[in-house]
Amino acid sequence: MIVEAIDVHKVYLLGKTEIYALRGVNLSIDRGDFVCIMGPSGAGKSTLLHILGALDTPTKGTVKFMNEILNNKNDRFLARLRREKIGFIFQFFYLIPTLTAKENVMLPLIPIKPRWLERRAEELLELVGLKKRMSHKPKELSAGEQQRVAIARALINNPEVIIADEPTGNLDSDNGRQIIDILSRIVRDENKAVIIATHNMDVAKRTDRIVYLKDGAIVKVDELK
Amino acid sequence: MSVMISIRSIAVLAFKNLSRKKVRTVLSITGIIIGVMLYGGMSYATSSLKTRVTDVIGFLQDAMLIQNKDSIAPVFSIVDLKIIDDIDMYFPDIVRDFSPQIWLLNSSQKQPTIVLGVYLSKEISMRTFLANLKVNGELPSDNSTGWIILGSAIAESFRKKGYDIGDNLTLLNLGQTRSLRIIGNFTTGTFYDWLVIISIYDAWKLSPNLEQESEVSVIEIRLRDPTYSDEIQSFLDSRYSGKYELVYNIEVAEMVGNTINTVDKFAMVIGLLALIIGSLGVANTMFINITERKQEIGILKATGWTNGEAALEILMEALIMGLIGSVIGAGLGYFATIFAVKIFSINMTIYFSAIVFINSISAGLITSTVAVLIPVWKVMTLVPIKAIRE
Repeated sequence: MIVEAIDVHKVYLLGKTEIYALRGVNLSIDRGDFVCIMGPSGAGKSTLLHILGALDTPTKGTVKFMNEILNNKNDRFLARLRREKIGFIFQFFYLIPTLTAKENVMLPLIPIKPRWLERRAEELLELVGLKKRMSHKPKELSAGEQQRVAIARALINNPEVIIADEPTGNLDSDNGRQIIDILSRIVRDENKAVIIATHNMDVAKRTDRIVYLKDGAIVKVDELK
Repeated sequence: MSVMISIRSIAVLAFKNLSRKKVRTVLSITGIIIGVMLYGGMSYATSSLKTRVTDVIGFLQDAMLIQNKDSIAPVFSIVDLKIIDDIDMYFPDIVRDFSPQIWLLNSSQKQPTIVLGVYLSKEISMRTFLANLKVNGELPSDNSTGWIILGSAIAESFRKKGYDIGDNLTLLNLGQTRSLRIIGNFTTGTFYDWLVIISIYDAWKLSPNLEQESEVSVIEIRLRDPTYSDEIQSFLDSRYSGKYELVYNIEVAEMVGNTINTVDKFAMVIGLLALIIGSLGVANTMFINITERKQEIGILKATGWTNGEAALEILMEALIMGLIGSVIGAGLGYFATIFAVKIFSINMTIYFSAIVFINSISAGLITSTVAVLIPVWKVMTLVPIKAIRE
C-alpha cells in the first residue's frame, strides 16, 4: 500500500466555530491505482488530497505512507517525504515566470541538485511532449503546455504517488484530455499511483475508481476497472 | 538521494527571482549603495584623518615648546634666547635639541600666511626637521638668507596666484617687507603644509617686535629623558617668575587624536544610520516579494523544499542585493571622499584602506541580513497549504 487513510477526521477552527472538513474517511491507494475524488465544492476533496500528500495532518485518525504513520511527524520529515515520494499538480500551475520550462521542472530538487537532474528534466519534458519547448519561459507557453510542465515537475523526483488537485480545471477540454492521457500513461507505463480531484465527470470516467465525497465523508465508490 | 544543499543552485534561483522585479531590486540596491557609500566614505575620511594625526603625533613625539605663558599662539609669544644657555647649564646633556623659531603672519599677496623662521645650522634641530621633509628643489646652506620654502597646501594657493619655484615673494609683517626667492616646497601631510619656512634671520627683519638675534617666538626642545620635563618647568618658573611655560606638543596632538576618535564615532553612527535606512529598502522589497510570491513559496514547500531551504533562498536574495550594493557602495565611498576633498579644497590625502573597504562591505551585508530576518522568519513559518489557498 502506498498511502492509506484510516478514519481520518479534519476539523478547522474559524474563530470559535469548528468546521468539519473530513469525517471518518477511509481510503487506500496502491501502486498502479488511478483514483478520482469527486464532490461539490466544500466536500473536502482538497483537504483529503493535502492529508494524503503529507501537506496537512488529520485532527483524528491515521495516515500511513508506505506503512509509516505520518501523524506527529515534523515539518522536515514531511518535506523530505514530499521531495522523495510525492508529486503535486495544481489547478493553477504556479510556474516561476523567470525560469525556463526545464528549470521549472527541476525546481523541486534545486536545493539538492542531483547530477541526473537536468537529464531527467529533459526526459520528462519529452514525455509530456515539450521537448522543443524546454527553453521557453511560461509566458511563451499555452495553458495546456504550462500544465504539462507542471506534470513534468511533479514527476521529477520519480514519486510513488502523484496528487493532482483539479489539474484540468483551468484548461479547455482538448488540453484537459491531453493531461489525463499523460496521467493515464504514467499509471499504465510506470505503475505510479495517481489521485486526482475534479468536478469533471469526463475526466473522472477516465480513472479506475471514483470516490464521491459529500460533507467530508465518502458517500460512494465506483470501481470502473 | 544526496541531501547536501546546493548553495550555488539556490543562489542562481535567488538571482533570477530578483530579476523579476528589476526596478524594485535596483532601487533596493541603490539604497544599500548610498548607505554603504556614506558609511565607507566617512570611514575613509576618518581613517585618513587618523593616519594624518598619527603622523603628526609621530612627528611631534618628544617635542615641547617653551613659550610665553599668556600667549594664545606662538605668533604672539616672545622668548629670550638666553634660556637655551640657562637650561643647558642647569641640565647638561638632558636636552637633545634646541630649535628657536619665529612665528609671524604674512599679510601680503592677499594670501595670509603663517611664516616659520628657523635656523638651518647643523646644530639646530630644525635642520633635522627640514631634512625629514620631502622637499622639492634645493635646500639652502647654513645661515643663508633670502629664500622661502612653501608647504604643499599653501604652495598650491600661491601657484594659482602665479608664484612658483624660482619666483620672488614679498612678505609683509608689522609694516616690514622682505622679498624672498621660492626655492622649493614640502609635504608632511600635517598642518605644517599650510606654513612657509624662511631663514630665522629674514624672520627677524620682518619682526620689529623682537630684539634681533636675542628674542624668538618659541624654542622647541627635545629631551633625551622626557621625565625631566617637570623639573625644567619648575626651573623656568623659578628663574623667570612664571613668564614661560613648557607646552607638550604630544598632548596637543593626542587631544586632536581623541577629537578625531570622537568624530570617527559620530561618523560611524551617521554612516550606520544611512546604512540602516538603506537596508530598510531591502527589508521592504523582501516583504513585498514574499507577499507577492506567497503561493509560489507554498508550492516550493509542497514539492519538498524544507523551511530552511525556502528561507535560505530569501536570505540569498537579500545577500545578493547586499553584496552588489556593498561592493559598489564601498568603491564609490572611496572615490566620493576623494571627490569631496577636492571639491571643498580640503588639505587631506585620502588613503585607500583594504580594511575600510572590507568593513564597509561587511557592514552592508550584515545590515542587509539583519533587515531580512523578519521576512525570512515569515517564510520559515509559512504553512504551504495556507499559502497555496491564498
